[in-house]
Amino acid sequence: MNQPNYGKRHSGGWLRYQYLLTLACLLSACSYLGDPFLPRDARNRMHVTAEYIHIRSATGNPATKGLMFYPGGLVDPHAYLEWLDQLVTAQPDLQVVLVKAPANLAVFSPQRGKRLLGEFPEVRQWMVAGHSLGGTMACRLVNTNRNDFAAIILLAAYPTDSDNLSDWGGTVLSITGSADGLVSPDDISRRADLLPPSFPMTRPDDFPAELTNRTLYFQIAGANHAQFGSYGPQKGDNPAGISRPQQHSAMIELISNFTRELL
Amino acid sequence: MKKVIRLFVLVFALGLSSPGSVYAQEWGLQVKSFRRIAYGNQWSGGWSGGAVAANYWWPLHGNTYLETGLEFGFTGLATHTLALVGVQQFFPVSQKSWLVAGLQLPQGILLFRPSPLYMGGIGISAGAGYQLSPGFALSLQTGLRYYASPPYREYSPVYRYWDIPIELHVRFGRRIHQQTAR
Repeated sequence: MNQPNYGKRHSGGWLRYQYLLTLACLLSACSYLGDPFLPRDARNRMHVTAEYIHIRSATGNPATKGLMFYPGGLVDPHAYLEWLDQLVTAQPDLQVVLVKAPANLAVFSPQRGKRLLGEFPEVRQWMVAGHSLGGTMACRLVNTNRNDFAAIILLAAYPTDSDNLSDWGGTVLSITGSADGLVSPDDISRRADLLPPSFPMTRPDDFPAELTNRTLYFQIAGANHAQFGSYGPQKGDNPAGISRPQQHSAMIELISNFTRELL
Repeated sequence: MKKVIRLFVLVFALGLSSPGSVYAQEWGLQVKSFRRIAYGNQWSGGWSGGAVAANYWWPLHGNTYLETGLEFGFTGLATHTLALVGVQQFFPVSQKSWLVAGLQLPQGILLFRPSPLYMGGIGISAGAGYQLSPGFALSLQTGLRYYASPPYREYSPVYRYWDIPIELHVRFGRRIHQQTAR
């Protein structure tokens, strides 16, 4: 019987071939481009730079709560602006920093969020969120800067084995979609031991009495992977059972409740 | 900016009129890293991305070569594929080394789906090279590169960048060793 050769040492030639193949895949990878959403379309103040997009309420004093957001892999960051703008409208005491990355891959700059913290000195408490690969990089950011963030919000995302946050004192909110074709409930549950102890939420306002060192799980019925942003259908994903505005409304309600409860 | 262009034209003109031997290979591969210095009208430092490119040089006149190539890379906008067209002027320093200056006009696309977007730019570069063997040479170049994607303006006000490329060139093929016409 043939045994898998996981431990077998590969020749240098094969490894070089693999590196070249990975490089070729990277350099030919297309990013999903979202629906146009410019600062003039926003209800709040939006400032766009080469490294981030900052959204804050147009009224009142600068918010002291901050949400740093990492986009999904190979997704143009502007694809998340529509609902993040709505989130700031729903919660004016929160400002959002959407982190850009070279090639639209946060793996190239997972620590950019740490560097950006200093640009917003008025923010006293930070949360970091990410969609898909962006969520994985958000976990990496927190794992290497454990005292800088109070919470992680994962949108169809989970940490890698190298980022074990099970003993982290913050709170994780893990949001998934029942129609997600790219991140399954199995994927999420297999990595549950890398996150703080679980608390399954039954309603968007069903929070435990103690939030410290907890992971709250909530599944949005009918939500799919691509509708966590606004970039159209994604290869490998399932058709959603709810509309994109409905999915965004559910996300905004949940994140607003969570932020109010926590910060 | 005008001073840089004048200096470049001067260096180029000197190169056209200087006799000497040149060491240039017919084709080569390049690895590039882009350091951002500005976007739009705003100064801003940081790492922009990287690229690999394959090039071919066509002799034009004396030590002047037409450069053509394909570049595959990524920046803060997205991944891109660019056709490279430019001119390179070689300045022999010794039997095995040279200085080089060039002007490039990269034109191509940003790899977005559902449809790609146009991206184009202009770049100037200068560097030095060394002949390691008759068919193999290395050179290191840097310069200034401006690129923009006007259609991306529909999605973001940040669609123009200024970068400093740092490039390692590996040159292969037949060694060209010739006297200039004058």
